[in-house]
Amino acid sequence: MGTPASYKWLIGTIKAEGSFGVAMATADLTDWYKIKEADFSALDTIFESDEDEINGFVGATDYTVQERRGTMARKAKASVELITWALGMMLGNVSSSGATPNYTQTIKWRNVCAVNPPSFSFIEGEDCVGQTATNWLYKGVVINTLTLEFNGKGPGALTLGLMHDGSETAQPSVIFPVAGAAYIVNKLFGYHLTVKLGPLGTEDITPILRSWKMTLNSGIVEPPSMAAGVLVPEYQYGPKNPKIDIEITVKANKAHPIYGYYQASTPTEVKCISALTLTANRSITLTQTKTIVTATAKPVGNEVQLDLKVMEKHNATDGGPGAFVCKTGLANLLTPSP
Amino acid sequence: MTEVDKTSAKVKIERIPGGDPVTQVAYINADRPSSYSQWYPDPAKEAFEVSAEIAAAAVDSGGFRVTEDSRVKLKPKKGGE
Repeated sequence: MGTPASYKWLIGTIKAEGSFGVAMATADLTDWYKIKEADFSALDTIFESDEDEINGFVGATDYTVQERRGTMARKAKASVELITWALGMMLGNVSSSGATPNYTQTIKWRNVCAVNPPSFSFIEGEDCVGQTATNWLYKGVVINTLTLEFNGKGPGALTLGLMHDGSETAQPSVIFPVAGAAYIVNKLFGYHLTVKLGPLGTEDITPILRSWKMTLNSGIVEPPSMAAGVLVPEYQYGPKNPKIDIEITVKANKAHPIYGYYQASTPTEVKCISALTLTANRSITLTQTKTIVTATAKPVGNEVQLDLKVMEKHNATDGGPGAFVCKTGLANLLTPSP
Repeated sequence: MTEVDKTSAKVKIERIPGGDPVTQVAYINADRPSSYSQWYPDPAKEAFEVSAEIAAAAVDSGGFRVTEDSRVKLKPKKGGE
């Protein structure tokens, strides 16, 4: 038998499907990222039955598969590499520059004309002797949600909500990396985070940070389709998506200038820069050049805290509500495979 | 954004000296307009002849400029955007 602890999944960090639902070459699916739970991909099947017809019996007498699709989650400790891959895969609008070993990915919001997010394939399985029948390839995978959270100094928590096209293809011959050969990542901790928030964008609130959470949501929708077969032929961004929410908790009360930004009869427009920096060449920076912040005071133990919410606001500087600059060792992203 | 003369088949662009070389540019491909396509310029090359869509995105990336003989094919968008 396999075990949850033997669960592995493989992606191609710099690769993506050239066309939605056309599986990537298995030779490109070699990167094993450690994750926290064995979240096996779920296959959702919509059955058509004769239960709503007068069939002479109390219940259904037949079932026909009408449609298949799938969902899964990935929970991992935050790393520069996995976050950058996920951001590129969600937004698609990537510019890369640099030279070995240091590159910069600038990832911006999608153009209003872009309908479909990038997609990718991956393989999962239980890496135990005799368990090759647990190895499956999933394709037509898109990232619907990304949540990144830091509480105190500990490692960041990255959670991805994924959707696939409903197919499962056996991969009995796949060879997973051996233990100790996981993809090398630069992990991000709470003490790597700095946040500047204020009218100038230079007002450092890092010393009073308690928690920081970012939620990106593509609002993925599956348009009605009559394409041949039962699989999902297309996923689309939801209207007005992707959306971004930043929630920050700080040690501060209503006397703090941030509360004043929110309380003003015309709320003060602020600039928010959230930077996760390991080194000069390994970092992720989110800049929201023009935004509005809300603030709510609450008691926690012996201190007063403000719950801040950075509201989404499109601005020309960022080409959207915000722009990410990721410094990695990745020369580029989203290279079509095969 | 840079508006492109869509009647132009190819546009010559070149890297702007200085800074890190651009290795990837996302653009909306007229043949596949519902999603982003990616262009991966060879880091070893300085000059390229590309489609108008790629040229516009490459110029917007800040790492390229249109060469003199192709400049007529790219024009500023109205309204100064």
